[in-house]
Amino acid sequence: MFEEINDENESLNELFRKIQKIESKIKQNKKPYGNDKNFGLDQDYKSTERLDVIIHHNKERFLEKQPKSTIKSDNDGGATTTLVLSQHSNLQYSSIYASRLEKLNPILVENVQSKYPGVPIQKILHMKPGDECIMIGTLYKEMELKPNILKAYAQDRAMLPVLDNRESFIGEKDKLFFEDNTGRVKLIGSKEMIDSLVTGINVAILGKGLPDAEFEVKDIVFPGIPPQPHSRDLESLKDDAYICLISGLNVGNPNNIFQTQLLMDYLQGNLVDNGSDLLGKICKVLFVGNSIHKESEPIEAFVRYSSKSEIQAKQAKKAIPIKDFDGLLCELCQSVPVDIIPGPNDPTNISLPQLPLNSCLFPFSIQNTNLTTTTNPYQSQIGGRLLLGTSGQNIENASRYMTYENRMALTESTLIWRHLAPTAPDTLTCAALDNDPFVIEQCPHIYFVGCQDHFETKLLKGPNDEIVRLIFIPNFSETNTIILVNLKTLDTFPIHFDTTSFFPQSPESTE
Amino acid sequence: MKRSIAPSGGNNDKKYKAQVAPPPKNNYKGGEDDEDDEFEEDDDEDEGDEFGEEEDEDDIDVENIIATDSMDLDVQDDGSQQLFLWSRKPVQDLVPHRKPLIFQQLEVDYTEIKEPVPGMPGPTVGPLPAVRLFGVTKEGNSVLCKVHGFLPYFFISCPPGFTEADCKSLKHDLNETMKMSANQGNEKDIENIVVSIDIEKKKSIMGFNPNPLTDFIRITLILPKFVTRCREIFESGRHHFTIPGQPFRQYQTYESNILFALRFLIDKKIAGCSWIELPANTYKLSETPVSTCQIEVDTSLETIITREDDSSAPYRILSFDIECAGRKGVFPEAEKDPVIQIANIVKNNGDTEPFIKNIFTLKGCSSIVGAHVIPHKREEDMLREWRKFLVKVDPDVIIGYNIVNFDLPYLINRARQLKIPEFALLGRIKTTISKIKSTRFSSSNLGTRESKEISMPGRTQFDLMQAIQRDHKLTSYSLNNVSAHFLNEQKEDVHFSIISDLQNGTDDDRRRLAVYCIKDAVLPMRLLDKLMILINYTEMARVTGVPLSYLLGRGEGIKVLSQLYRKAMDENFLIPTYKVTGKGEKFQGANVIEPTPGFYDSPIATLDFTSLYPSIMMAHNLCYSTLLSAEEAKKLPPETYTTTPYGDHFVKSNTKKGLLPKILEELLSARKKAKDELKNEKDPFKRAVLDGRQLALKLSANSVYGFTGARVGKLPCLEISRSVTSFGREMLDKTKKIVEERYTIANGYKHDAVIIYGDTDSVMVKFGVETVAEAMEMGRDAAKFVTTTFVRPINLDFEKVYYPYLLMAKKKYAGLYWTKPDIHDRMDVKGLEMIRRDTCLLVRNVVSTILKKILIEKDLKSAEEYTKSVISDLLQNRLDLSMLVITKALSKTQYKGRVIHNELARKMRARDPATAPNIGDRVPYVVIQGSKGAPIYEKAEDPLYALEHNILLDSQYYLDKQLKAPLIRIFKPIMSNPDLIFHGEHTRTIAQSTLSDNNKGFFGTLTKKKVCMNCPKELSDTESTTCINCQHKETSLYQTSLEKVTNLETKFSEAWTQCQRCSGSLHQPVLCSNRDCPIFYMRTKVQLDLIEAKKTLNRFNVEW
Repeated sequence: MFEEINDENESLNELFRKIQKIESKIKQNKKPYGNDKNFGLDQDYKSTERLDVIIHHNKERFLEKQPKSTIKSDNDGGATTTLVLSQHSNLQYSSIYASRLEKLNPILVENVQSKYPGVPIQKILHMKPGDECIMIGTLYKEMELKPNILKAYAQDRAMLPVLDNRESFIGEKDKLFFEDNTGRVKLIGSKEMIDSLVTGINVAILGKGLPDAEFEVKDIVFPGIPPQPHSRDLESLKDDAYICLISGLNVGNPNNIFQTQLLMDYLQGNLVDNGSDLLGKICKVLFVGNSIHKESEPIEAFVRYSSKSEIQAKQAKKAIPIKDFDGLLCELCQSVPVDIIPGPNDPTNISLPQLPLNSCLFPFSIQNTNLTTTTNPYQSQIGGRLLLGTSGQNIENASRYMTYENRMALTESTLIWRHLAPTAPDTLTCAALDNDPFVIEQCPHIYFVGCQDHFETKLLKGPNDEIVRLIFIPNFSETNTIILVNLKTLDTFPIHFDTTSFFPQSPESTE
Repeated sequence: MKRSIAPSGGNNDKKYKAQVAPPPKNNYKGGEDDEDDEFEEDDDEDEGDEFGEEEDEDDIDVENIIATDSMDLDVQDDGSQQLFLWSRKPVQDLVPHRKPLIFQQLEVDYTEIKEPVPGMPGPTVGPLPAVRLFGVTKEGNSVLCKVHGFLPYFFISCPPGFTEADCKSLKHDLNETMKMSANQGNEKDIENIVVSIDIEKKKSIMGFNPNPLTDFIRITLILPKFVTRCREIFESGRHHFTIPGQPFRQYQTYESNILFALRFLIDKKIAGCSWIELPANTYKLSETPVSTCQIEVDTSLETIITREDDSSAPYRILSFDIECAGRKGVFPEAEKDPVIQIANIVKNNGDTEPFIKNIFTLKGCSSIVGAHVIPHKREEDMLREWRKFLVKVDPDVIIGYNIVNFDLPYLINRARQLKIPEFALLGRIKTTISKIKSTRFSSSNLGTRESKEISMPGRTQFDLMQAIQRDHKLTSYSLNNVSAHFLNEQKEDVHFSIISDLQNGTDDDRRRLAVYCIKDAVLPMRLLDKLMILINYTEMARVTGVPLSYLLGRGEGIKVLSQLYRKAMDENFLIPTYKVTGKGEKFQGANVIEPTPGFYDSPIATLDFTSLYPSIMMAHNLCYSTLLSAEEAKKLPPETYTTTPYGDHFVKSNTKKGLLPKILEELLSARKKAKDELKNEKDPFKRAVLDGRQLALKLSANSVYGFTGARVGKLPCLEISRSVTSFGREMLDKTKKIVEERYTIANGYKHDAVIIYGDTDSVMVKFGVETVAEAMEMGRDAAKFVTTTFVRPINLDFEKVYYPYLLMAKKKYAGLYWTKPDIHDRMDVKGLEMIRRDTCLLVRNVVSTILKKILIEKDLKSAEEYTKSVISDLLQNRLDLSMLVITKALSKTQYKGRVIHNELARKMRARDPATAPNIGDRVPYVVIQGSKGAPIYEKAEDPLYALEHNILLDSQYYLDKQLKAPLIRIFKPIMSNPDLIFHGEHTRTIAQSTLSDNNKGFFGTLTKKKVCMNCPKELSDTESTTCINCQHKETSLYQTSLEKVTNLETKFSEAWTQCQRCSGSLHQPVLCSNRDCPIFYMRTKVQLDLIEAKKTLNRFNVEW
């Protein structure tokens, strides 16, 4: 399936030479790269015919629903200021939950009615103790250990962020509540059940009402895997086409300059013969989160006095990796379309959905239309395949508040919940949106999670023949591994760049 | 069914007036709202005012009301299952002639009955007093026990030559005089006001008297209300009354100012909240019950007995809360604004969960899980139904938060406004209308408190707010703050300006309101449980012998007085009634050994005198009954009396043991016993009772000294109190001398011990040793040694070691507190700006952080650095606003001069009357930058307003007026020049209104033209962020904006998810306006800042 990459041995000097070459090119060429059709190391590669894959970006999906007052670039000052001020009371989180339930309610009704025909569905406030019924609503887990700003706040000058990096916030006295738009009840069930769920999931619950606003749980019904769209584009995909997934590139991390360069060379076909079959078939490179290195700052920095010059120096330092990345992208975009999905450390906002990295960060590469900066979470359609993915925050956050078999199973659960990030906004920072963009309305073919510590994949088959390729993309800077996915077959391979031999190693294919 | 028509307005008002007690003797300017009903309650005024008036209102309308009312209740009984559920269990097994009736009494008062009950002792013609004991049986049935045969009495000194034979003529003359002064209605019809005159052998408690008992005249009257008048006849001389055969003179009266109900308890040796037994065949069921109690009996004074039993009956506790819909800008007024919701929680004492949780609402309301919603179309109906609910549930104890001063008066006044006269029948006596009185009491601990008192016979009102104000020192007594403090949860608070909007909204909106209302009723119940308030107060009632309701409604003195009377009675002592002048010489208070300020990095042992004042009184036999005048002392052999350091003389206990020492001994030995039992007790409930008891005993013992020193008290005796303090001073000095003389290098110790500070009952000793263990050992040794030099039971005890110890000034110190040698217990801070309300949170937090750094981390350098960074943050306006909010209570409208928070309230009222603070509210403010030299009151601003308008705060004010003094105090013992902290590089960058980024953000949007983000140049239409010259800086400018956004996003998310959690609902928007919540201002600020920051960021989002 995977062809062995040329065994030719290149020396370290060779590599340096290449790096210098690129650097000198960047210096020489002030002009936008994209305009120069003949520029680049591998002109042939760039025009590979097999790149004829239809790509639909769904860049707007995670953008459109934000309240206008916060996202609209506003040019006429005073008038909107009053508008914004009068609206500020609406800038809260309740609407996102309401929207979530509104979207998933019909699905839950359908599911639960087919599973338990005849059992009445009731609003919480109409529930009578002793009656068996079904209720539909949102889960809320009360946890003692959950980071709490009130506890943290009273302590100092309220300047320090609430930092609690414990692995798990599960405690002995966690309580599970359930609410719809009429009220809230406490769910009575096993500790295992309570621990296996998180705040924000929409479910239908079969059970019996108890006095004192409690509800005994007999069964929990989830929305289930959403329907999978079928695109004619997929049929047009005659031959193998690959997408390449790279996460945690961490450009600017002094420890992985070589690997990064090796990767870039590889992707541009510099390390292999021009005729490499595989490379030519890559129709998209996705950078999934943490592409740019960020120095971690000690907490003290938040309260320490910094002079203006210190701040400027800090900023200048931060700008270096961004420039480097811009340079790399310049090269890469010559040969292949690239999407950049921001991650937790990237220079954009921190709450989900993360906005696309700003074009002003990439003054050179952005001019090439091959480069697209996108939101996190990410959704697009490539060659008829629906791609959905995040830079990992959703899974990482949920994993701290629930028990799970393994992370892959947890990721699978998000599909069954039909929700990418149920813990947003409760524990996962998220914008105060009028509409919940994280509901998974269509089942993706490829569902990836970036910024993981290892590579893992699973092919999931849904009850209605949905097929989902789940992928954990490992951090490149730690594992030197990238992932290739065959769009046609959904086969998935990691490629490992061994720094000791400077060559990408092909591990055994997983499937 | 015939219903009486409610009387018309004018009539009605008159009727209420008619029921009001007679005007006060000492006229006191009452509050504006309730002039008719208010008069100052004077503790020693005529007893009759309290409840006696009601019986003689032969008012047709009251009877009509009652008739209608009982019909209403009966009708409801048949139809409504709900009312059935609310009711108490029926009475079983009540056989007066065969079985005793046993119940726990909770409330004691008395009434006047027109006719004597046959078979009961006492006069044979009425009116007569009957003591009413309200209580609950073990089975949970409510009981009213009317005790007959007890009459009020007092004593006067017996003039020489007065004999038994003279009694008859004195009785006649006095009776005539009393009748002449009788002025109103049925008083004139009473033939025998004076029931009897007797001579008894007694002794005055005042002054040591070695002589045998002498004669006193006991005057027994028919009704308690005559006592004051009769006393006056003897005391004032105004009536020119003379005892037959005696020249005209004034007489000292004895025991003439004690509350009648308390007198009964004392004479019958019944303690508050105790169990009462009526033996079989000594009581009978009342033929015409006057109360709504399930069991109503009559019994005789002679047969009633009290039982030893420290359990508690399953009495019913109702917690309620009301919501009113105020108009914009005014605090709700009962005359105008409707009551819209009443939430109720009912629990049986001893149960963990309430069995009733409901809410009465005006207009429809969506249902609430776990609570019964009872909607009403009309407010009148709601109030009527609520009262029926109350009567059905028949609570023994009514609790709530601020119910006595707000909820109850509001309901009663509102019902009057709506002409529902029967509403005021809230008590257990069918014919007694609840009335509102204004009272006030003064106490050295609590200061003068004005408060309302609602008469509601048979039900004990227990306002949690009063209890917590009494027992705990908090920065704010709002329910928010109190529940945050004790229950560790923030309460969502709805500003009263939104209440009306919610009320006028949909059923769901009202449901929201109902949820808050229920929470406000649940919280007092939870506070009651958590703080074990009823348990502790019950124990206090049992220890001191006063009824439960006295503990909250009256001062401290009554508790000591009750004990003193009880003890005095046993020894045939009489307590004179003094006219309290409130004047008296001042005497030197507690002593202090001047502190030697410094930072002590070696263990400081603390030696404490256990129960200092009580033990002094016991050791030196200080009492009213042992006091000698200087002349008397001269006549006695010197070894028989003690001369106190102040120069007063008291006989020694071998001559005559004082009453106060006896009381104290009993209290302290009972406390020791309770503590011993506590050690072995496992059952948590019994432990709580024992702990409550030992605490009550300790507090009682300590209040004895205060009682003798209270210049406006019942029985002040400065000779005692000043002797106590002078002994205290002498003991401190002596301790210092002994310790410093004994623990010296000369005596073979490693170091010379130094007393570095001493206050009232403790001394701090620096032994010079290195370790806590050594200091503890020496401390114990020293305590033991010093104790031997004092008279028993004075005891110096080693308690704890402070290490390290930062002594700043008198009563201002901090240290780590060690009671075991291996690890410190906690950080102990005294007298610093930790809990003062007029300092902002910043000061409190900074002080505590610095102390932590100094004491725990022992890192002076880091404390200093930290302080500098705080100052720098402050000056650069980087602190969270809520750190800088100062609050003051707006207690009146008229202040002398311009007071900062009053000026601000006025300013806010002009802006928006709806949200402006009202009288009684706490006004939070921040100090903003104003013109140079502007007075401070001009610079105060509403924190929210300052936030929303991005007004810069006056950081210099905060630095100089808030931070500086406490910081210098802390650093002074540590640094040679603490002023240096306030100077240096970190103080150079100061946020100015013109340079502030924030400010530019806000006002910047007001200018039409966009300006380059890096320089002041105006931008062309095609440019969005920077001018062409600054374009190279765009990325770095972007990053700066970005950083701001990410920080704000995190804060926003933390704050608002917390609010969402706190509000108990994910799907509904947060409405809370709880200004006591630490994140209230922050969450608003972050909301605004985030919008601004995102706007800035969006300027970059122009497609290329």
